[in-house]
Order: sequence, then structure tokens, then C-alpha cells
Amino acid sequence: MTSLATTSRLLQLATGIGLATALLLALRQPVRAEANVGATAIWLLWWPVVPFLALLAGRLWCAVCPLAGLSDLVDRAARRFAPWRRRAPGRRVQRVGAVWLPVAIVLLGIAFLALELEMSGPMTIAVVGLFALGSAGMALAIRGRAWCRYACPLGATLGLYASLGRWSLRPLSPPAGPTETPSGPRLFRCPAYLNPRHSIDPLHCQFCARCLDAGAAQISPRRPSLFVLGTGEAALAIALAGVLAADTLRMTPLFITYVGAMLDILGPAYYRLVVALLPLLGTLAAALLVGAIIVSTRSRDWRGAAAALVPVAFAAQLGLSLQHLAGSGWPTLQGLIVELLPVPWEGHLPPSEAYSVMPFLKAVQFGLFAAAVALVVYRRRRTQGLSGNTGLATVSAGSAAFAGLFLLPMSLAC
Amino acid sequence: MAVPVIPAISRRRVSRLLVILTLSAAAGTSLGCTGQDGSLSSEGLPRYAYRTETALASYRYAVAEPDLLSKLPCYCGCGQLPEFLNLRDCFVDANGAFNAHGANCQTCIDEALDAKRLHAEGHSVAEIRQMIDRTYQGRGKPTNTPPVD
Repeated sequence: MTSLATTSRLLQLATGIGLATALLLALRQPVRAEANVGATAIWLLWWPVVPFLALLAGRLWCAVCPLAGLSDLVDRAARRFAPWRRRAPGRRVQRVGAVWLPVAIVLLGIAFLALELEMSGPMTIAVVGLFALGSAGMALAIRGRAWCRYACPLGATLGLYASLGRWSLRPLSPPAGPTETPSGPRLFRCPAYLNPRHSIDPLHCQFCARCLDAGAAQISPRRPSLFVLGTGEAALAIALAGVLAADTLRMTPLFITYVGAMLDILGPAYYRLVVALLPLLGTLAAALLVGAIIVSTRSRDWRGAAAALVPVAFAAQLGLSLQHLAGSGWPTLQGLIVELLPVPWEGHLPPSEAYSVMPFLKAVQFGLFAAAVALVVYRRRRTQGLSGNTGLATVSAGSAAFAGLFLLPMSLAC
Repeated sequence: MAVPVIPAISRRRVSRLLVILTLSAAAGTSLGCTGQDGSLSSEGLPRYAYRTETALASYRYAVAEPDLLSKLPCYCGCGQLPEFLNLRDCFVDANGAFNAHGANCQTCIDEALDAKRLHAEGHSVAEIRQMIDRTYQGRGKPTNTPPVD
């Protein structure tokens, strides 16, 4: 029988072929499509779909991620010719990772908002290439998936959402120890530096399935909850909420009013600067929100407040993904079809008014925020250290701010 | 670590929360009206021109060089509609009325910016037309724009 880890590798190969095809398409000018089909396929089709996988299990995408596969491949090859490699990341890597991840999220936000990454083939190739280089490079320096655990912004984001996923891996009970008989769990190395025989942190578990194959863990259902976050993870949650707030604002007519007003002040040459400020301002606003709540509730637990922001960020990301898919999903797919197949094509007609209200979509988006509030209301007691009103105040204020933006007409021409 | 004692949530608190959410929603709706009107910026451009940097650059160029863009066909597919006769019409018509189509169409934006670049490089209108035709032909039904002599 094929092991789960082998299945995961095969799926990584398949997604790797898909990614390579998209990058090849990104290299050339479109012939019949509206925009660069490689870039739009990656950022307007794949990117909005991935967060939905977290509803099943946080970092489930990592199980099929081609860059995780690349890391594994280099890791295996380097066993022979790179004896200098560290067995596990040191403290320095962990500290740099804790700072890098929130910064990377903000940089990605700037790339999307100010540089139109989703439309640019060369920039898409550069971003994916940098990620691939990072993944392979770190595997050459450290055994395992150091990139995925400490440097991949997408993986870290999905890890935060793991608290809201339906399934996770758990050690087989009773925990299997070194005294196991030969018929018991086999030896294996967790590439995410976890110890699956004792506990599996869903924040970091990448579903490589090696512990499952070794009989040391099982897939088990879980109830959505809030995690206790470390300092870096809490900073990531705040940065993520801020960047998502900036992206939400970008989708509303308030954005063009903001840009117009700022350009009147700064001058027409500063468009990129004005828009690049948005993710920074959003992050600052999210940090101020958390700070204000900490002060008002007399709690000292800013990380707990940041943890309560995670369901709000998840609701916002899913809501935005639905908006992007509703606006650009079909046109992007259409672009791919006409670019690859000789079907008749008269061209496209974009909506004359980009901003519109789709009642069903709005209802779903508000349902997501209501679910975030309900989750914190009913599950905050289980979050160690999160004081009574801190979580409630954070999720209420965060959801209210996002809900206010989502009430506006939103762009269907992302 | 000791788990803190948490007070039960009263109905009053939940209602307060709902009131806050409703008020913020109402505030959001009223703010949403901004930018939807037909007002122009101090630069004389419609608000939708500010959606992206490239859209803004295209509208600026369409206002600055309407004659050049009126000699170029648009290949996005707007040729299916009778009111679009050339690339300029995607941004601003012959009477100076702005059109939001160009703000939402990457092909129109790319064509306008290519025309701008080629013009800056010193190419003649006929050469620009030739290069635009070569690059964009096949993207969609073109506008019925007369050929350039």
C-alpha cells in the first residue's frame, strides 16, 4: 500500500508541474487573454482558494506544496554532500524568523497593493523564485523544512488559522515512547522539528504524514478554538490583520477617495508611495487596536488579544477571497482557456462600474464575521491567559471595523 | 498558570455588541457613498481613474493625447459595442466625457501605456498603430477605427 508520505510527494509533484506551467506562462506576453495568464492564475485563482483548505486543517496546503517538496528533495540530496548542515535551527534562526514573518506579510501586502503583483509576470516569477531559493537554500544549511517552519509567510499564516481547522494530527494515545516493541511505531524524523510522539502543535504541523506512516499519530477531529501565541506569532497575527484591512479598504470606493486626496497633498508622482503606506498604516491601526484594548481591559496579555484577532483575520481573508473569486475567478479562468485552447473568442467586456453589492456574497461575508465573534465568545475561556473581556473586546472591535468596510460596495475588477 | 475566572456574558453585553456592530455598519454604508459620484479630482480626473497606478497613468495620457489614442483601435473586445470607436473612447469620448471602462480593463491600460512609451521614443503615429496592431491583434474584437495614412 502506498504510504501517505508518498501520496503527499506525488501531490507535491503534481502541484509543482502546475506551478512550473504557470511560471512558463508568466514569462510571455498574453496572446488572447486580457492580462498575463501565469501571474493571474497564481494570484487570482490559486491564492484565494488556499485559505479555504485551512477550514479542513491549518497547514494542509503544506502537504501538497511544491516548495515544501523542493525542500525535502534538497534535504535528501544534501545528506550525502553537505555534512556541515545543522540538525535543527538554532535560536538565531528562530528569532530572525519571528521578525521576518510579520515583515514578509507586510512586504507581500505592499507588492500586491502598490506594485500590482497579481498582474505582473516578471514580478510573479521573482517572488516565487525567491521563495524557491529560500526553501532550497535553507535545506542546504539546516536539515528538515526550516524554510517552511520559520520563513514561509503563507505557511505561517495557515498555521495561525490552524486553530480554526476541523482536523489536526494527534499523538496516538498512550504516547509511544522509546520502549516500543519492534512491532510498534517506526523511527522517523519530523521535518518541522516537532516531537509527534508527545505533542503535535497544529501551528507548525505541515502534514508531511511521516508520523502517520510510522504509526505514531492519528488524524483526529477538533473543535475550533484560540491558540496561545508566542511573541512572533502574535506580531504576525497583528500584521496579518492590518494587511487584510488595507486590502479590504483597497476593494472599496474609499480607496480611490484616499488615493485622490493623498495625491492632492503629495503630488501626482507619489502614487506608489501613497498605496505602499496602506499595509503599514493598517498594521499600525491593528497594533493600536490591540494596545487600546489591553489598556481598556487592564489586561497585560497582548498576545491573547492578538490570538483573538486571528478569527477576525481569517473571516476577512475568506471574505476577501470570495470577493476576488467572484470578481476575477471566471475572467481569469476564461483567460487561461482562450490562451491555451483554440476556442472562439470575441474579447472581454469589463463591468463599466467596478464597485457593486452582491447581497448573497455580503451575507456570507457577514456570516464569517459573526462566526468569528461567536467563536471567541464561546471558546475564549479555553485560551490560557486570555482575560475575560480582552478577547471579546478584540474580536468585537476588529469585526466591527472589518464589517464596516465589507458593508461598502466592493470591487469586482480586482 | 492559573486560569482566570471569567464572568458570564450578560444579554446586555451581547446587545451592546450588536448595537456597536450595527452602528459601525451604518457608518460604513454612509462612507461608501464617497467615490461613487461623478465628481472630479483636483487634477480633473474621475475618481475611478485612481484605482491603480497604471489606470491613472492611462487616464492622464488619454487626456493629454486624445488625438493619438483616437487613431488606435482597442483590442479588448469593446469593439462589440457601437459606442467604442477607438482606444480613446475607453477613457474619454470626443466630447470630453470620461468612461469607466478603461479603469477596469488591463488591455486598454496596456495599449495606452504602450502608445505612450512608443510616442516618447519618437515613433510616428503610423508606426505606433502598426506596433499596437501587431501586439494586441487577437485579444478581442477590435473597434472599427479607420486606418492611419
